[in-house]
Amino acid sequence: MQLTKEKKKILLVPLDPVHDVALKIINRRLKDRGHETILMPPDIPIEEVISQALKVKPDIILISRTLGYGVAELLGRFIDLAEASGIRSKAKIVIGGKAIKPELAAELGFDAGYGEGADFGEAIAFVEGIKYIPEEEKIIKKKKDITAGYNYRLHHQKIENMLNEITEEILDWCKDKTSSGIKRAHLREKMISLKAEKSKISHYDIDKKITEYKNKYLENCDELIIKYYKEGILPKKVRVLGKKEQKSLENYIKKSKEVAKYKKIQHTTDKPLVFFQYGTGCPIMDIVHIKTGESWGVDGVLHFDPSWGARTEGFLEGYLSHEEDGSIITVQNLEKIKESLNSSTLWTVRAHRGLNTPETVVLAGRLGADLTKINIVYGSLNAGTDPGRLTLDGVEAIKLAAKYNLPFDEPTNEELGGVPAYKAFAGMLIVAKLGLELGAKPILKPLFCYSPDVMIMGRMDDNYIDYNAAKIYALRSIIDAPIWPGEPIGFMTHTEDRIQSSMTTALHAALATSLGVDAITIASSDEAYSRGSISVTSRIDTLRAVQETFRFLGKAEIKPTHKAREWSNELVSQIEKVLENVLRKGSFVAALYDGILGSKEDGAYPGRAGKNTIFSK
Amino acid sequence: MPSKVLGILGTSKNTGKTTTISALLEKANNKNLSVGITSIGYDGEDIDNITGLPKPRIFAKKGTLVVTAKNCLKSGVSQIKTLKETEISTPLGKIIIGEVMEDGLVIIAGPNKGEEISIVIDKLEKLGNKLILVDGAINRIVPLMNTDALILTTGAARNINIDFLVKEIQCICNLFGLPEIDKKDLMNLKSIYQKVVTLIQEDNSKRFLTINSLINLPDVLKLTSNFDDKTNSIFIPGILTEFALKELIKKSKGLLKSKSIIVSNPANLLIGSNPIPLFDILFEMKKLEIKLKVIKTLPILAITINPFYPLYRYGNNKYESAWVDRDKLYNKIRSIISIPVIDIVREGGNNLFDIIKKEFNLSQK
Repeated sequence: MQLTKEKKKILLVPLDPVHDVALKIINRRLKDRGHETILMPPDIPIEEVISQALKVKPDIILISRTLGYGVAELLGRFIDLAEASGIRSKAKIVIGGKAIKPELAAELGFDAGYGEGADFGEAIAFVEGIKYIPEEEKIIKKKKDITAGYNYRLHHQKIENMLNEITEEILDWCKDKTSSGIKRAHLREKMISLKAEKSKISHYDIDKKITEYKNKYLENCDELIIKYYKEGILPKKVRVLGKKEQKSLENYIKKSKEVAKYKKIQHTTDKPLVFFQYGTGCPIMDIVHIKTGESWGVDGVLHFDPSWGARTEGFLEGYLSHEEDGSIITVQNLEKIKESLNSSTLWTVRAHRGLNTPETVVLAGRLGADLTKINIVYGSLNAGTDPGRLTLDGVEAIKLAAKYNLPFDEPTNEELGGVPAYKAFAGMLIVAKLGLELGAKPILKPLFCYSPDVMIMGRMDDNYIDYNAAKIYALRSIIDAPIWPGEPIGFMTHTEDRIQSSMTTALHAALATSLGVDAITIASSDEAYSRGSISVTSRIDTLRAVQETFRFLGKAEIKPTHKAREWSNELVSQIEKVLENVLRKGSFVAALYDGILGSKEDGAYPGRAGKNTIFSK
Repeated sequence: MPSKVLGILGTSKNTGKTTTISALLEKANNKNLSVGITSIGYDGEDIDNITGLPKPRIFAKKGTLVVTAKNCLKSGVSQIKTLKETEISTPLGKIIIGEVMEDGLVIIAGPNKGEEISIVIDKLEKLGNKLILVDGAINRIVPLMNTDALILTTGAARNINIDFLVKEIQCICNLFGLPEIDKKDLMNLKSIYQKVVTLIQEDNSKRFLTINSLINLPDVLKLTSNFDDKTNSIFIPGILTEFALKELIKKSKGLLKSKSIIVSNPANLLIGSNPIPLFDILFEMKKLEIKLKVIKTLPILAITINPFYPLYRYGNNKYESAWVDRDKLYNKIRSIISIPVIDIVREGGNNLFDIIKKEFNLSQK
């Protein structure tokens, strides 16, 4: 390393019989930086140290000593000896050791003191006479674009040709159709735009317009939603946050921003970014989870709404809390969450699977989300939405994602229901190609999981590595696109045991790092089987475990067996066959209904929500 | 009239330095005397940095001048207005001189080197200060040699063996009672620019060694190889350890009889020694008629005693408060030492303050 400051002579003194490791580390670092160092043997009488210092005339003396009975007096005497012998006026004297604080260093008469938790850089900066900038202050977390550097080119000609044909058919099918979901999305855009035009139009006109749009909006909503707007009746287990709660939330956000410190979870690699999903039901609790996650290094968070939200036409409004899993999407809830986020935290609002898919993308885009989530196939086969309706709404949602410049990830969680990975991947690739056709940026989201198909086929009888690696190899051989295993990684390898859960999450994170993927979503250690609220301590469990894994692995790699390549090739040919079958069917929507991308035998059921709700334009 | 500087010297932690200084501060404040306070350590914290036991705090009245590190300003309770910033750095930031604007608790962590103490004393003097109190730290002595007089604090925290304490105090008092060299000799020594061990021969010629201290055997051998029957005195500007002194006497084989060993000040001998064996060596030197002199010493005005000590419990790895017999400690020291002995907690600061007032010839504002 180049020495930027003048060369210093440093005498390093381990006054302890033991505990000289830290001093030896500093010694090595100082030497690496071009300084002259003299490391004394341990446990030498202080008079001898003085004698040595008189001989070598150091610029700095670094002493390490663990505190104990009578040690303060010993160190006090050392400083006196240094002063009386004239060493003090020429050399700075520093104390390091467990329990040393600046106050104690001052009391003992030293020029500086470093204790447990101090950074080696701090002592080195002192030696070199430069200002120390703590590691955490050096971390300038910046939002990352997960899609950067990918050209989205398809490497597999045959698959590309088939995807072209399929997407052409889908877009053609959608051309003359619309739905209440699409109508609401456009009304929502108009309503938000109106608010932004307050300066141009009179209050009266705005109110008039808003009322007009809202009435039109309600014409396209379910009873549950209409009842709230017209009669003030909220769905079961939903309540409005009180004024006091809102006020304390404001305070919490303010205070947590004041004390916020950045932490980097990755060690020496930039990837993968680490995400977790939140959706406790209560926006306040969500924010606490987010802020805690941020302070433990999470790079991004995903908003999860209640499952009934996907089956209900229209959104509620206000600061709403939900007694069960999933946080209700309203403009106000999302705005508050957005307000709480660190500027570097990536925010995904998932839209992928229900009757509000296009409108969710509008809200995500307008309220400052960075990403959204859309997968027509998964939403149709395992999340309860009618395939035709979701194809139509999904295409619109992708168009909106392109408009708002929101990359969208495509979860393939139908695999958890029993659909084999190759079918889920064929579906994911179709939606990805749709995205590309419509100018959006898709992110592939294969599962890192112990899925039913994997169990049945015995693909993970030996290890969890080969088949997960095969998935990444297969996707990479087909398309140059960002990959973000989820959701969460290690799905179905977790148990109620928090240590076990943290461990499998961490190991899957290691695999993700080794494979060079762009991001991962991790579970909390109580998530898989919590069947209730997730505790914030469990979130920290896995964040810490993953951080340790990154530290452990560094840039080293995990080596899969030959099986990974074999299964990768197999996956690609299986995907080809599925796509051939979709083409043979002649209609993507019909293929969904007929189980080509996941059948009842597999465990996939075409959804019913929104059946027969497609209109001609 | 220049201000007077009083240093509080302890034989170890928890011997009552802060209690003594607080008592004096209170008296000085009551008598409306312009007083300044600093410390060579860290004072006024509520919990001890090492034992975790509660500590006496320092209460300063409005108008008191304090010399402390910047980072301590926010820890105290009182309002302190910064009058002067200095370039002196400490682990707790730059040293400032401030004025207490409102009565309250203060945290004091001042300069901890002798030369820096002199700088701030100078600055305080310029601000019209009459009495400057310098609190010591742990068992440190050297920076306090830049004051005008000392109060020595000792107690069970140093050692729970009262006989040990008595002997140690005797030794310290003996050292501080060592004669200063004559003015003539002082002028002679002042012309020595090299701050190295110097042999002054009968004809006033000088032999210089390359070392400034006598610490170990090689140092002593360097000296004795230059030493002869024409050597009149030996000047050691740096440290003289008890070990080196003992070896020097042994190796000089009677040549030192009626000759002088000169050290800069008592501290330079005390810090490299165990007081009990040193006490014996001093006694032996007297017998051998070897003179021990200092260039400068300070009067010890009084001794304050403290029966408290932190008792370490191995079982729970914690310290707890304990005390030795208060009267026994007081009476035993008093019976042997001629300097006034004060149990500061029991007696308060009245007597002590009177002693100081008399010594320093202090008048009220």
